[in-house]
Amino acid sequence: MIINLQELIALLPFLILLLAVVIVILSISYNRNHFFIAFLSIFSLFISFFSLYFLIKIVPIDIMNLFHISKLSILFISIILISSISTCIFAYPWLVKFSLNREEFYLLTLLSTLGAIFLTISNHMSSLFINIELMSLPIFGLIAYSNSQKYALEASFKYLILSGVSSSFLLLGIAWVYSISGSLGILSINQVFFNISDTEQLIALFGIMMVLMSFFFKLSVVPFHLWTADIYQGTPSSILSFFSVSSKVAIFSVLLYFCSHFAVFDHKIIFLILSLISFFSMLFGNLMAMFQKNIKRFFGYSSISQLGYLLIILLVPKNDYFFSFQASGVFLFNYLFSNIVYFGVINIFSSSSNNDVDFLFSYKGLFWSQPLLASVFTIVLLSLSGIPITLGFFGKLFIFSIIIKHHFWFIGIAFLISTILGLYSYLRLIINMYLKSPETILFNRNMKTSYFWLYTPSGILIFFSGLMLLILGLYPDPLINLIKLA
Amino acid sequence: MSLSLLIIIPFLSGIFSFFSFRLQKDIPRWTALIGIGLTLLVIVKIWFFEDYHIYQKQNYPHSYHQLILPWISSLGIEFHIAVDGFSVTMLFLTSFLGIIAILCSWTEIKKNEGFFYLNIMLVLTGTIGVFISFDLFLFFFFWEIILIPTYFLIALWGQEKKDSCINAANKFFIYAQASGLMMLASILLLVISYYKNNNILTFNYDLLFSKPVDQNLEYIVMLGFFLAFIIKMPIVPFHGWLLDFHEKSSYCGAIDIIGALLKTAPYGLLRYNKILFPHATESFAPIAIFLGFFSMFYGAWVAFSQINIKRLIAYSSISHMGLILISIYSGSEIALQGLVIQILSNSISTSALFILSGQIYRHLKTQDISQMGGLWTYIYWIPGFYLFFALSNLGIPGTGNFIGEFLILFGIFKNHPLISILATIGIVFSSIYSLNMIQKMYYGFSKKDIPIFFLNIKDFFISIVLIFSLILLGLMPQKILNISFESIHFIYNFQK
Repeated sequence: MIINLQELIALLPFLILLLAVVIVILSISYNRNHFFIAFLSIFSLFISFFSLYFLIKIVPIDIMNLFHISKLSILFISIILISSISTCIFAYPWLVKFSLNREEFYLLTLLSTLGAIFLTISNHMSSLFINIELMSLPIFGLIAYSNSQKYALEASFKYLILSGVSSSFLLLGIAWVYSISGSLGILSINQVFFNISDTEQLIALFGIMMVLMSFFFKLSVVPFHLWTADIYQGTPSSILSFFSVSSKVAIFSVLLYFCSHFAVFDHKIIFLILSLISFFSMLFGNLMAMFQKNIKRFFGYSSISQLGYLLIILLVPKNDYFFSFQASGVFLFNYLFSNIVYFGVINIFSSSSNNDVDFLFSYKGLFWSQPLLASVFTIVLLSLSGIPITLGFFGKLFIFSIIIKHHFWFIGIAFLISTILGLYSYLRLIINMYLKSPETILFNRNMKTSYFWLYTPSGILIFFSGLMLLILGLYPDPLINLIKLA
Repeated sequence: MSLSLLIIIPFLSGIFSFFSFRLQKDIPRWTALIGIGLTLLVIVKIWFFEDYHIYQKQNYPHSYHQLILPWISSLGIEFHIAVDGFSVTMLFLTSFLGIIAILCSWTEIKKNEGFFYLNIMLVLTGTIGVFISFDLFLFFFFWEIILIPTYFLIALWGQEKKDSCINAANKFFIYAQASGLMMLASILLLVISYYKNNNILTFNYDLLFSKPVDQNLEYIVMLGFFLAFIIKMPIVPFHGWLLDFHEKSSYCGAIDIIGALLKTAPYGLLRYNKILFPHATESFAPIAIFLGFFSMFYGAWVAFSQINIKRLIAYSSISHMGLILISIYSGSEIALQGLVIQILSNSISTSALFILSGQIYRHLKTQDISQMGGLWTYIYWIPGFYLFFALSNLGIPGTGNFIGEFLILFGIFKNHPLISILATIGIVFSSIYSLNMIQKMYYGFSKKDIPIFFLNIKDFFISIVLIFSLILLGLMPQKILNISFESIHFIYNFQK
């Protein structure tokens, strides 16, 4: 197998991360230096991020049947890289106080990032499977990293077992599809599908459904959502900002690639299942979020409904995808920035205590002790609920116009109801920050470390992300044009 | 340029009053007052010194005074603001009541003044924006922006227990958001159908109304707009939020005034429903008129049985909104002209009633009418003023309300005499509940011993100003009619 120079350039960001992983392993075995490794990881992620620039001119490109890089995947890769940079930045102050081995954290993060970005460009069943595993296996380690924390081990085990089940579904599905098409390439099933008998079609569809099921598990949409809340609760907030974005974005990008390129996915059964899943995810996520007292669980449920909104994009027929790309780009950027700020704020608050401060009442009256932090947090919540002047509104606007353009009335009604339900639950969080209560003011006063939050790297990152939500919400043209290029 | 100042000044003064709170406690309210005062000056300048007429060019009109900046060009959204006569009157009302609202809260708001005035100014900015935006997206943008500060105003500065305030605020927000989403859906439907027909993706008001919409679609889109507007008005099946909104909001009256200002909906019905969908509006008119009647009578009857003053006034305003809805759909130009006067004077008289009942609450600590009685003996000035505003609210000659109602009824009578007669009966009921309220509150024997108190000097002057403005509207309505005549004339005669 020969790789030419152009393909090598196309693989540049991935090779950089691979190199970084190797250096991190070697340096850990030689001499443990927390600062050096943190710096190296963040630096390599940045370099990998900037090297995406060289890809813009040579895409779309196929590499050895295994990968297909398009402009859209560059966008998704950059989202994943930003989220993993933010995780490293958030985790550093937390790890400094950590008593056990610190350096492996970055190793696991880098490995999982590598899996996620490889997954976004996968074009072959084998690379798909390997990269899903590469992406999720390090996450078990990350979730259980501080096993002294409450629920961390439990969450890790739950995710391990359920993830194993979903991988077996994936393998089973691949086998069924393979039995019909005789090839592991994704393109082949598309070619074969329309020339085979009905029974064979049924088998192929069954296989595809199995594959999709395992995807839905990773996306945590209804009815594969049962793990979400528990795992969000048990995972440290700094990891959540990565976990909640990267795996979902990577899987979604694969789904988007499938649905926009292969006519099989316009089949009416798949359409029906996708729309049912999106219907129930939207409603269920926001409905459950209304009753949560723990803000990490809250975000778990709200992310279910966010992904429910996102799945609407996939319902569009194959040749009408131009608008959907913009929609998914805007929506995912909103999701990324919201995640960074949401978990960043929890992380800042938790930096002084051993466990995450994740109870709703702990944030009561935040506005009166930390006005800027609370304002940024408010912007994020408004953005998630899709109120104008935030980026989230444009995400919703795009999805809503897709609904209206293609007359998905059934989904549209669910969308409206779920938006209102979601609004109620987000308002609960917002108003909580503006209420005064004596005991939490005392609590906030005890946290002297968080007073100078803005001058730390995590603080800058949070502030910047919040500002981006606001600026892009007022003037989204640059972002939309950027996505249009893709 | 002066148009953009209408948005910039209140917005910046809100921001500034928030940050200046740390310097000194007095600065926020002065900043807010100066900000809204300057806005009023700008409006007066546009009113007197600039040409805000509409001129006809080819088939569709152009406002003379407008500002167009590109905003989100990839979606065909422009920052397009303009004024015409109708907007100028509404803008004047907004800034006038804005000043009153700030004066009302002058000494009453004692916690978090900075944040309070920020919210007030943001609401005013949004309301002004609604009146001057001529791009559907921009309109929706301002329409939605109003919600968040209003939510905070009810939830954080309410008068009773926090939980019930938050419930009221949530109720308001959810109603308003439902209305907003419905409007967004219809706007998108309209824009996408325009895009399909003409291959131009635009939210521009002038472009959108120049081309006809498909017959079937027109009705659906119109219905979406209509529902969105009547939720905000509110018309009876959707009036649930208004009562809690007023009952739970702070007694100083500022927030009640904001509530009165939120009634941008009649403006929207005229500007958008009537112009964008003339055919559907015409065929929908009987249903809308029925809803108007229902809300008029229902409001009046329920108001009669209320024992909470603020709820009573809220119901009375619902009842008047019914009349306004009837006049919009009556298809008579005189009624539409009268509508402008009616909106102005009704907002002023309702706000005044809210302010005065707030003052009563401040002294008696109750909103319950059954615990009052014989107040005339104990309070100076308030009963007299209250009587005036209540009478003006039911439309006594000499006040603006009379002119408004008279013109509306007179206009309707020409085409639909029966509707006009029925509407007149509705006004009889409004006099019954008003007089009942006055009787129970101020006459008879007092149930408790209360120390005698005076209306303080600030509120005294506020009431005097409001009384004069109502009388001015009643005696010289022609001045206002002249300003808005042209745009209303255009709206009435508009045909696709």
